[in-house]
Amino acid sequence: MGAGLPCAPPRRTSRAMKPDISQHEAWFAAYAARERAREQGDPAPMDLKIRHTMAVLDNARRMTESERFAPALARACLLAALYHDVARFEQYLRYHTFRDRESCNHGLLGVKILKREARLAGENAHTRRIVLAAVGLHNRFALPGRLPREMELAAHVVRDADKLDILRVMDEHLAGPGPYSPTVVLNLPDDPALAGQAVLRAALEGRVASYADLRSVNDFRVLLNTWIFDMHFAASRRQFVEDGHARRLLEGLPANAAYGPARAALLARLEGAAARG
Amino acid sequence: MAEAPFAPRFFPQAVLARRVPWPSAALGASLNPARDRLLAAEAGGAAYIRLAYALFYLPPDEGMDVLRLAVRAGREVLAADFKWPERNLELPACLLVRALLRSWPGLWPTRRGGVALTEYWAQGGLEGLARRAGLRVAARRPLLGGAAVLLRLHQ
Repeated sequence: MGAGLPCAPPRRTSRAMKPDISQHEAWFAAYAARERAREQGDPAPMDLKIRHTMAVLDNARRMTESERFAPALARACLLAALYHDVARFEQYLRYHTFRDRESCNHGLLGVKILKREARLAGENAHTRRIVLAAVGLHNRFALPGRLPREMELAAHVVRDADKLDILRVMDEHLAGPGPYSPTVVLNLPDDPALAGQAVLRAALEGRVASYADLRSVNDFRVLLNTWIFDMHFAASRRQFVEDGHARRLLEGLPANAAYGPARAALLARLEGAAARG
Repeated sequence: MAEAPFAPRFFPQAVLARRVPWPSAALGASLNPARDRLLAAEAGGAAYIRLAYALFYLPPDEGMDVLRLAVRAGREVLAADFKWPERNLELPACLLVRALLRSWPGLWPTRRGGVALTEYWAQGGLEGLARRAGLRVAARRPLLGGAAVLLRLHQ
């Protein structure tokens, strides 16, 4: 269990009791295909979201199995992971952007869509509440202080799983051969001389850096690596290291006076986490 | 023609309806016509039918029925009613409206209107009703700081 979660989650499940959410997965696939077909411009961003959703679901599945959550909680976590970005399609169709600031809060819109589409009508009230809360809260900078324990766990599963796949997306994008899309790097300049001091300070102090403090693409590489301080489960911390995306993002940083100390501190953190297993 | 059957007592439906920014072409259109008038109307006989805060207190099946009848009678339905938030800025207005509605005597959870209101929220508000009625949203405009929305609905 991770920091900030003083109690162990409900454990008792076995591999024979994997939650079956195949009907939800089939609905999601059909819904995504239908929304994709409505896009009259470039549907590629929607394809990215479909792939991202399935990767987040895989990550969440790995976490719930590794943490051995009780079947009901594991089911809620998987449903929340599957539906966490359900609003991205409608958001893109309506606003042609994934930036919440320029459109809508995709967590809130997701809750509305799940209700509108009656996606959770077949689940019990407890599961419904957990899933809706996790979807609605997954994109907040921090979770509210006093959430019911299972709601908090489900939200952490989705947020960790989401972050792990964002690392993959960013690593693949920044390591790619071509010029990268400004949208993916939040229109930040790729200028080695621009270093956000608040981002670097957060990395050295072991805190998650804030998007508001980003000044350059290199800051973004640092910020993504500070997410290791906000991984809530042993399984997610392990995956953070083992996937290799975080390390590759760090290795792309210049080892100069500005970035060197943060780069070294974060690499040491990764190596420490890897050694602890 | 401004009948609004079953509106909770003292609910300022007419005041709210006046604040809706109806398109100028629709200003003379029927506002909250009664169900029997919709039933009797010729299919597609009206250019517009307007519904203002006339659905949230109805059981969802009745609300869907009204929407379907309205879209049969009018070539376009303009429906204004309460909705779930989509933006952070809409949250305060939505929370305030929900608290007000919950405390409205005719909408207490033990009353018919309160049960209907709970179902209305559970089914996704106005857009959920429109979706279940098989209607297409052609345009939406937030109202009351984001606590409500004006939808242009087609079949």
